[in-house]
Amino acid sequence: MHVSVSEKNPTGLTIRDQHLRRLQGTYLGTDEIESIFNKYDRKALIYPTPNKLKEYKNADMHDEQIAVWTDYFNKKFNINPPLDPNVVKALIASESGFHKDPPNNPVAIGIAQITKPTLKILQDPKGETKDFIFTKIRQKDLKDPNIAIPMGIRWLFRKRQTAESKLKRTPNAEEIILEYKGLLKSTTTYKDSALKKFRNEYAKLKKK
Amino acid sequence: MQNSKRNRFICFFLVSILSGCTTPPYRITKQQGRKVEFNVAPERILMECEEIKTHEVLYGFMIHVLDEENTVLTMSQGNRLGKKTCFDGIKKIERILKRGKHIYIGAIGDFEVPRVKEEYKYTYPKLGTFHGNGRAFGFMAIANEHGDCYDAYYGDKMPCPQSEFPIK
Repeated sequence: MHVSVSEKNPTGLTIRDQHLRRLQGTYLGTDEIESIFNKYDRKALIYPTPNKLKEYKNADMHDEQIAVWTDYFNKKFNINPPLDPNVVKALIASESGFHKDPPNNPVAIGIAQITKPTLKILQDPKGETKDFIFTKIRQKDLKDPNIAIPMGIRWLFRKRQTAESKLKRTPNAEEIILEYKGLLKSTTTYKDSALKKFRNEYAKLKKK
Repeated sequence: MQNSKRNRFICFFLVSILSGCTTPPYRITKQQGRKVEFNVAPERILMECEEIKTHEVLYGFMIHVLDEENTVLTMSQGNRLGKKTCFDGIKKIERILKRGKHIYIGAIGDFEVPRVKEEYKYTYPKLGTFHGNGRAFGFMAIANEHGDCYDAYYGDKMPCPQSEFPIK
């Protein structure tokens, strides 16, 4: 770009650092997360099933966050069929047992057990989730379920996309969860065990 | 405060052991919904950290328990762990198994699932090789009668086990 000629810059030309400007509605920071959650239209919102996962002390504590953010991303990505909030609830049961910051695993943080590399991807404007990212979220913010839940659900939507591309068809709930856990194409014993556990939790939530 | 909780847990655990006439190598001591507590002999327990490769390398932690019908049920930790956490966990649990004769395990799962004969086989050094039974539980905590304890989410931090266990 052209600037005025000076002693320091006799050519009058300079390079402008590229600050990518993002359109509103394609990113979320902590303030936006709070504001959207507080103002969200709760009419016709589908909640995960309460009183089913009684084995976990805090199982129903975050139902509202799960309902709001699942609905938000279903609409944002226009997903068909929409993601069932019970899938998210069963995932959280398996990841953290609804403990908001299990301290024994330093590689993953918070209720959705988001890893440090995943946190980086979720905030990278040129990365794989560039169509919708988060900004200025620090690792310690993930200890707050109000932040960790929307980020976990965003990642789940990304994993739905990657599962679809691997399978060349719409993935079902189990396949999305396996992809979230990095197990979709795995042939490990752990995959079998994780899948059975998810099935148990999900079936409990779906049982009338 | 933490010591008193620890002592309470040891007392509770010893009562659970002694309430049985004999001490079989595998016994369900308490059940509440899908929460289950087991009393198992240490030689019936195997552990495993299985590598999972994605955009990062993580590990899946599992405990394989040989039950009363000599079939193997697997208890796994739902969140994937870092290498250090997973293998350190195995070392700490090995210490629990070495020092204890009665091993307490707290897990969440479903006994209504019928046993099936799986292809997976597990070799217990003192007992032989056995098939998996298709039952999957979520691992929550493991301890011995001396109060040595390891919680899936809190490691060996006291109080242990935390939150959902022991069953009251």
